[in-house]
Amino acid sequence: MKEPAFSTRSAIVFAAAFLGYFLLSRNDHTAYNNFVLLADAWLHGHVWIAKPESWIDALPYNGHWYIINVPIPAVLLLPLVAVYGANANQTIVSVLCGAIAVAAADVTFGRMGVSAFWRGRLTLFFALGTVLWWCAANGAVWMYAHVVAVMFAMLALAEWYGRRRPWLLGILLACAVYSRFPMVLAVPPLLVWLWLSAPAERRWRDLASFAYGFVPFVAASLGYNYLRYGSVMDVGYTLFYHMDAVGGGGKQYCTSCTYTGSPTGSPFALQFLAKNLYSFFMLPPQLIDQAPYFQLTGQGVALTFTSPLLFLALAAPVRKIESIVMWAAALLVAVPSLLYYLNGCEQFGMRHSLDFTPFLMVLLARGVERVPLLLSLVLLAYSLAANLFGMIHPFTPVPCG
Amino acid sequence: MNRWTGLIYVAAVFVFALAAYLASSGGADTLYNNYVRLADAWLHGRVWVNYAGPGIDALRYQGHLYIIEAPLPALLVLPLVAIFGLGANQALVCVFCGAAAVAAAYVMLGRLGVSQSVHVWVLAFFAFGTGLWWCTAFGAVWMFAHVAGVMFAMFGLVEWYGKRRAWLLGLLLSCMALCRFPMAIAALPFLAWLLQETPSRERLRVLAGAVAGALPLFALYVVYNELRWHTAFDIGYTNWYHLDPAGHPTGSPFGVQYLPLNLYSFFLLAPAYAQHFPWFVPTGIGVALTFTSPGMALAFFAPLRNREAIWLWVAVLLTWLPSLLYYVNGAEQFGMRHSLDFLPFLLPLVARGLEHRPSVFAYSLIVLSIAVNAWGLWYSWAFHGFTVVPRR
Repeated sequence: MKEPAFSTRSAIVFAAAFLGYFLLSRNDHTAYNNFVLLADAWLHGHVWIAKPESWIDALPYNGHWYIINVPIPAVLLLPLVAVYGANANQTIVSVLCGAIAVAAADVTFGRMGVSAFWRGRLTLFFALGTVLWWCAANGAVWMYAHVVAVMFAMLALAEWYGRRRPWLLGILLACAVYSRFPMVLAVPPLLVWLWLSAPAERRWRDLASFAYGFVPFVAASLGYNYLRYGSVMDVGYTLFYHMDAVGGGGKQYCTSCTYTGSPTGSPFALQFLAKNLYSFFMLPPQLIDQAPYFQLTGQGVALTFTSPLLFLALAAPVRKIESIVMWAAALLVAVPSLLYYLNGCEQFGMRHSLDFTPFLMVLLARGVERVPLLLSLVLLAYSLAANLFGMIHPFTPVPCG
Repeated sequence: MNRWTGLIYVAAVFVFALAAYLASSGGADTLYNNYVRLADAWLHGRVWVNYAGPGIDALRYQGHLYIIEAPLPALLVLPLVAIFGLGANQALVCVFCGAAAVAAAYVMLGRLGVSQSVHVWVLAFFAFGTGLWWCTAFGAVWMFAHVAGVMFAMFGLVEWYGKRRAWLLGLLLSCMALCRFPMAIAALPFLAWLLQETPSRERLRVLAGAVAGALPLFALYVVYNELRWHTAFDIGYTNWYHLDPAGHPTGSPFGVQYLPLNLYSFFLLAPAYAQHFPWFVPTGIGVALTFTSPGMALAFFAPLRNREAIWLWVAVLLTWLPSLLYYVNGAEQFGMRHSLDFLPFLLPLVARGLEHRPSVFAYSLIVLSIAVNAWGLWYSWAFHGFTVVPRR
């Protein structure tokens, strides 16, 4: 009997996560409410926004200003914006999505058959031992996009370990992709698994069913691009990158940057790999000579120091199709972040890690019971403490790049 | 395996380690040859040295200059100094000690009774996945003291997992402690463990044996202190701390206020990022064990609920304690050289851990440790990364 999606347990998990996230968000409105501005624009019948404040990542193009981020998070805000207009609270929706993601993770672990001992602890880790906590409570445009993508990815995984309806997987993965575009790279390995796990006579039908859920979003996205840029291609990030150079004048808040964009070329390049590897694995907090002794900077903190329990994903059985698919998904999704020109700066932890965290959570659930309990519990306790530290102590802003 | 075959294997491990460490050291001597100067002083009938060039930790006290480090490594260079005088190559003796430590680790792991695969993997980790490699390659005063301390500790563990003769354990313990003072604290858990496993009627005899083994060198050390400081206690480090710009004019070099620095150093201190090749650059004050020796985490894989694990963990934690409270983290180093104080006691736990839970993940940690230490060594030579690296 598969774990039901809606149960008393999942309701309690959702409520607890919502309350925890909500209290630490202090119900603040974020200044980086790009998706509210976008939703408001849509409700006024256009895809461009009015000239925004300098801190809003918006691209001036052909006489209008456009939000460059992929649009699904704005779709989720539509009801609230319809009621409150541009005063709608983006952060509260971020908190809501974060709580749904936590409940979905708990259901996923249940459906995976994770032991009761670890199911609760892994849910706790996912909620409070990863940067999901900080991002959900922060609610700024970049963090909110991550949280929404994680929510859809976790919902997709819950469905994957449940009834595995291809059309629903298609919809959920499309929503994840159009919340954080790097997640598109998780689709091929999951499709391969879907193909391999289906009886031969059902394979083509499943694939078509998946496309039935997925393709409408692609079509809508292409149309949205055409409305913004006069092309079906999403040129927003590249154009933004061209303006995000020192003296480029595109972003006023980042004029002190020394290593941001470039007037030409792609925002993805091999030359950024070292910096991103450093950010994901080595970037430490700074040591100061007074309490609390560790100073966070806006550059972030490596996963090694914020969520080391994630490394136990490496202990998952290597030769299982599940591990191969999840590793493929996690690694492929990480590639864009590893090659991007910024590490996600102005953050606690490494927010880009949320792109692959859902897939690592599956691997972690398989791996955690294969290492000694003491080690797992120490890493769990440390991860929770480190993320609590990040919630309590604000980081010192530093130039991006 | 008969006795002779066993000896051949040990010799082969020693020769291999010697060759690898010698190649890593480039055969070059060190400018920080405090122990050569000390041995030379002894051979000239005095306990003070007559030179304190840049980098030589020598304390001016009542008109003379004294080497403050624990003195036993000077005893190891004594024969070479007797022949070559101040031209004796301290780094070469360090290489020799490092290779001897690896050979001893080979024997110790054999006596632990772990599988052949675990034996090889843990030995490789010890020799090339820990700070032992880098310290052996650059035998400056501080590194040489560590390597000599590790060597005696490994000899002690060989005896511990062998005949366990109390007098020999006492002697080796005193040698180890007089290379690196923090290692002296390991005497407490090992003595307790020894007595726990000794029939009650024999305890007094065993205790007397251990004391008899340890006493001669400690007695000599007291005399040495009397000659230098006119007190039985070693006040060298404290006085040095009072004069050191990084220290403080009063108080002890050990304090709780230094705990954050050392915790940061052991666990969080990352290489720096550079925007050009090789992109990741070790800092001048070390790199945390998290990056250089993640294989140490395999010690957590060892079953906990047995006497061996408990006493070894106590030894690890106790020998670690002084480094956690010391006012400097061992600056001018790759990795964390202070970790060599507890490495010997951690090694059996790593072996038990790998034996208990072998996995791709576990082996990956060892491979990563070796790769990072190889990078540290390469960086040191290629970029003259630290002042202790000889200029070629």
